Amino acid sequence: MSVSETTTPTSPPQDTVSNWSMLRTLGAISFVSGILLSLVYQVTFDKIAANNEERIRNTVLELVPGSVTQKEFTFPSLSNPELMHTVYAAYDESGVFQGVALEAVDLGGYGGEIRLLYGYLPDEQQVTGTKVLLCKETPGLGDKIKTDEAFRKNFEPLQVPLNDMREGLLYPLKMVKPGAGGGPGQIEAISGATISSQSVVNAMKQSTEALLPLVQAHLQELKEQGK
Amino acid sequence: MSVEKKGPSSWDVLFAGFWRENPVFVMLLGACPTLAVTNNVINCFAMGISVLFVLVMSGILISLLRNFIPKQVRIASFIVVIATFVTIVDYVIPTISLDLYDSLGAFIQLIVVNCIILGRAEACASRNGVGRAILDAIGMGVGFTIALLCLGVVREVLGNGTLLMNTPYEISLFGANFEPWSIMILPPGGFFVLGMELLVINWFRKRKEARALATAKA
Amino acid sequence: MSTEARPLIIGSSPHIRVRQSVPDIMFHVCLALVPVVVFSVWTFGISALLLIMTTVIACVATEHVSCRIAGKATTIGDWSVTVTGLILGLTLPPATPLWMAVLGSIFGVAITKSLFGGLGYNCFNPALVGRAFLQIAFPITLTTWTPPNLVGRFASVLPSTLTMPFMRSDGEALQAYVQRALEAGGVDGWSGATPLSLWKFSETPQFEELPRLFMGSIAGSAGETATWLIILGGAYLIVRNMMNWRIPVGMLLSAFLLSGAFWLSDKSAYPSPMFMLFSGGLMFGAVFMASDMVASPMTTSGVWIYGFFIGIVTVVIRIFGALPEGVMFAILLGNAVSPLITSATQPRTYGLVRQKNG
Repeated sequence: MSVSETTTPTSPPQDTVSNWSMLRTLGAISFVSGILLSLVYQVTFDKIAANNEERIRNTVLELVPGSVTQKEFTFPSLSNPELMHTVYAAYDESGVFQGVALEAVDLGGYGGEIRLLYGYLPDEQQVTGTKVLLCKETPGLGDKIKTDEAFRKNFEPLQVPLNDMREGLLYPLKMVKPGAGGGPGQIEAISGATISSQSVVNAMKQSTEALLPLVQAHLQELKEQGK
Repeated sequence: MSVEKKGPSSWDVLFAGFWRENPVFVMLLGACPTLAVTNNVINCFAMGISVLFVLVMSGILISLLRNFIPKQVRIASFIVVIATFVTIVDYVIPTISLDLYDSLGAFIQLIVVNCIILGRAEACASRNGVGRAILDAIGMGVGFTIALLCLGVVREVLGNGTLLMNTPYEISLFGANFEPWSIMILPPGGFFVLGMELLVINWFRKRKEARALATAKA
Repeated sequence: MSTEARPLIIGSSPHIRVRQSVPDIMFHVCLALVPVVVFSVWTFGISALLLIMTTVIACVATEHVSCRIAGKATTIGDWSVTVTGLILGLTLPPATPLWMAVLGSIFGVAITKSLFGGLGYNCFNPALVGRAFLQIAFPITLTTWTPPNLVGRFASVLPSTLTMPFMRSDGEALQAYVQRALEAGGVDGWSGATPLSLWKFSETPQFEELPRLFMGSIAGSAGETATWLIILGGAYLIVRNMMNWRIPVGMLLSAFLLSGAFWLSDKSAYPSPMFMLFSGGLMFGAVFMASDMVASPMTTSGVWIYGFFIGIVTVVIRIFGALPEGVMFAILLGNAVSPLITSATQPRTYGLVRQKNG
């Protein structure tokens, strides 16, 4: 403390204070604070859960055009039944299935984890767009993956037909230099932010390879659930 | 701050924290959140208000309990009280805005170990009545907020060309062609801006002291 | 360390008179930089000239003003700040907007040098700190390169050079300008990258030919491309005994050995050690920046450690880092550890027995 204190504490002399009184004080304070916290927790819990849900719902509805409600599904992975994948299915007001939103994650960004949601229309076999949920990339450089128009246009829309075996993409996603794209499955990087772009492409590549066949396999179920 | 002997007025207690004994610029406390969350103005507001709330609430409680807490366990008791209010803030902020909560990250929880709060609990609240403790807490909390804003405004204006980004009231200061100084948003910018502001403040203080000395001699 | 009339100094032996003074050395460093500047202006045109003039003027002005503010006699006469300005200008890409050059100059000289007490007290090389500031503040502009020997480089400046202060440099206009100039010269393609970034970020690593690297007909910062002129300048300073030759030699040797080891392990992925030495700013950094007298260690063995350290860090950043070039950060790290190296390598006093711990 840089503030010098000359007054002595106003509390009474406590040199002979017993262990019991210390325990009692700490116990009482902890008890009161526990009660206070559980009260606040009760009050805020619903609101926080609602906020979280609203954020996901808004993102899903934004990504799947024409949808007004969404439902969450979990399916076991095709390659590894232990692993569960979350699929957000989106429906219009009469409950007709519109598309899904899927999560993509990669840990190889410049600032670590990058997490995004993307919309997918199973009937058209195309990605409708992406929305970055978590991004710790360098402001003004790597975090352009959120705002860079040209980069976002890569995914709006992106044709992602499945291969004949229906277990992967016909044209696996691949990053190319700015201005060099245009081919199927090619994503043009942001100039100057190669690592962040690569991380997004990796996330999308991994997620599309694993999840699109899964969505196609459960398509009937997703369509019926909306009714 | 030897409050009871010299007996400064309530106004003095309140305003001391604003500038004269500003926790960041004069006492250099709480540097961790000061450097970490000041990359835009709205974060500074949120952090400042959170600290203000924790300061005032823990100040009230500690001042009320000051005669019951044995000296040997006072630090432990203060920390429990402070941690309680910090956790309350930690629950309340995501009910207001999840985005704000995300951008403040771990620094809300880290208010627990912010030395400003423990320091004021030890130096003021545990030795004074409730009224004085509240005034001191408000003064220090507002002073902390002022200091954060001093950094946040510079960093956001240079680092993004805006004020109040991520809010509906965002103002663009330089137009679309502004070249942002990314370094100002990044951690080094925090160090540079805090360093420059301390430089300027100390420079003026030294000059003032020298002048006061000169007039005293004359 | 001043040119003023010297008082009578009485001291114990040995008495060695040194004729060199700081202004003397700094003046000769400037001389050694002149061919590099001329070559830079020749390859990158009038924009490079404006850039270097801007950094020199801004650095000298900053030094003068901060001396005035501190109430000291101005020290712009000792040439050291001129060297800072020249080096800063030469390490920036030729298309850097002039307002950024001014900003970097002010930052480097005022914060790194004047605030710490002026020449002799700065723990980092001011030019490098200025450049590092710009690199982190404006990462895209500072990695925007222009091809060498453009047609019409003396007739007009690059469109980004004269960007208004605080405004974004127009990347598209620059690209269009470069494209037009290339077409006028009968060249169709230009990848917009330096040899180092071509190697690092291409799908299959590309290695620039050594003669072109050596002669400097490549893209890069204004003054880092002409390896042969940099070596000549360094040799001049070493012959005149104005530079500690161990620093560049240690740096280049360690970079050579480490990159050679990588190259031998996989010749298709890693560039040859000669490529490492001649590309990017390694040669320029070794000769003109790491050898900065103030920010390098003071003992002979320490100087070797310092040189080796910088060389190794450079290669490690180039091969494993996110950036294609690591010389700048390697030297700054070297500056940061040099006081430690100095104190760890103090020579033993004659006759003193080192005491064992405990």
